Amino acid sequence: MIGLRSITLAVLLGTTAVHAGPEEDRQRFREFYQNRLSSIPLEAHVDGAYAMNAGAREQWLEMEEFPPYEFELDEGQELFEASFADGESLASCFPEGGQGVRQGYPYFDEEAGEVVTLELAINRCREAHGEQPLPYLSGDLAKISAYMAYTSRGNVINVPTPQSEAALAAYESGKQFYYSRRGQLNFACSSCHMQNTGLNLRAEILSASLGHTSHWPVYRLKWEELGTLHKRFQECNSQVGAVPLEAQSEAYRNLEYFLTYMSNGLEINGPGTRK
Amino acid sequence: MNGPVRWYSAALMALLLLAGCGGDSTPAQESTQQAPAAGEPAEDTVSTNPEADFPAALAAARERHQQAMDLEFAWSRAETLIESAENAAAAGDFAGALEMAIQAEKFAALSIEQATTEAEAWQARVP
Ligand code: HEC
Repeated sequence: MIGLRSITLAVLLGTTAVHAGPEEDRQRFREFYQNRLSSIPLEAHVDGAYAMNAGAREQWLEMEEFPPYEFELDEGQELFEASFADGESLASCFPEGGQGVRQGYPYFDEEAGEVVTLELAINRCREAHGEQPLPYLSGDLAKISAYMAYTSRGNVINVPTPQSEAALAAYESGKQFYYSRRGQLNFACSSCHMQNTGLNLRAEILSASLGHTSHWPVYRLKWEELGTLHKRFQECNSQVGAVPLEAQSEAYRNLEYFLTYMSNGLEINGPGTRK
Repeated sequence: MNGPVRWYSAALMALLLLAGCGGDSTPAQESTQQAPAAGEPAEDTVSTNPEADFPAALAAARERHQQAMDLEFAWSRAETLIESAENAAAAGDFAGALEMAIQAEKFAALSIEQATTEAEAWQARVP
C-alpha cells in the first residue's frame, strides 16, 4: 500500500517537473549533479569525463598542451576570413563580426520558427552569398565552428530563455528527446549521463550532461579529426541500437537547444579534445 | 510486451556497467545475438512456400520500420535484418530471407511500442 502510494507520488512529482519552466528545469538539473557528484564543482563539468578522474585528467591536460586540433583551428580561421565569390565573408552574417559569439547559440529564431545552431547559421550565411553548404559532421564546417568557439573561450553560455509558445515547444521537444528511451538497449540520454554519470561504461567514464555542449567541436582521437556535436549525438544514439537522425535535423537542433540551455552560466571552452 | 524489453535492457545495462567488457565495440552489438523478446509466443508456423511468402513479409517489415523511422524511434537491428533479408533473397535463400523479414518486423514493432510507451514514460525521469 505504502509502496503504491509512493509510486503514485513519484509519478505526480515527475509530472509537476515536466510542466516546470525552463529556468526551474535548469536549477533542478544543476541540483541533480550537485547532489550526485558533490565533490565536483558544477563549472568543472565543461571538461566532461576529465572532471571526474585525476589520472585521466592529467593525461588529457598533457595532450591539450599541444592540442591535436591546432592545425584544423588555423584552417578554420582562414576559412572564416576567406571571401565568398560576391566579396563578402562570414563575418558579415554575424553580430560582432562573428568574434566571441558562440555562447548565444543555439537560439530560437522567432521569425523562422525554428532553432538555429551555429553550424546552421554558418551554412545559411554561405548559401545567402551563393556558396554551397558544407557537410555537417566534420571537415571545413567543424573547422570554422572551432575557430568561432575559440574566439569565444571564457564567455558564459547564454541561450535566451524561450519566450514564445513556439520556442517553448522546441525546448520541450528537446527535453523529451533527452529523457526518452531509445534503441534496442532501451536507454535514454539520461540513463547514461544522469542515472549512471560518474560510473564506468567499459573503458569510459560517463560524463555529466551539464557542460555537454560547452566545448564543441571536439577533436576525438577515435575520429582523428574535429567533429561536431551532432556527430556525437549520432554515436550516442547508435550505441544503444537506435537509428541515428540526420545532423541538424529538427530533433537534434531541439535537443541541442535544451541541452545548451541546461548549461547556461558555464563557460565556453571549445574546441576540445576527447578520447 | 514492454516487460521483456525492460528486463532485457535492465540486465544489459547491469552487464555493461559492471563487466566493463573493454574494447571499442558498441553496446548494441551485445544484443544482436538474441531473439527480439525472450518469452514471446513461439515462432509463427513454418512457411511451406517461403519464396511466395517473402515479398509480403518484406513489405510488412519495411512498412513497420518506416513507421518507426517517422517516429524517430527506429532500431538499427530492424534495418540490418531487412538488408540481410534482401541479400538472402537475392542469393536464393528464401527460407532464411523470410525468417529475417519476420524478425525485422518484430523488432520494428517493438520499436514502435517503445515510442508509444515513451510518449508518457519520459516524464518520470525529469529531476
Ligand atoms: C549507453 C550509454 C549512453 C547513452 C544512452 C548516451 N550516451 Fe552520450 N556518451 C556515452 C559515452 C560512453 C560517452 C563518452 C564518455 C563521456 O564523455 O561521457 C558519451 C559522450 C557524450 C558526449 C560528449 C561528452 C564530452 O565531454 O565531450 C555528449 C555531448 C553526449 N554523450 C550526449 C548524449 C546525448 C545527447 C544522448 C542521448 C541522445 C546520449 N549521450 C546518450 C554514453 C552514452
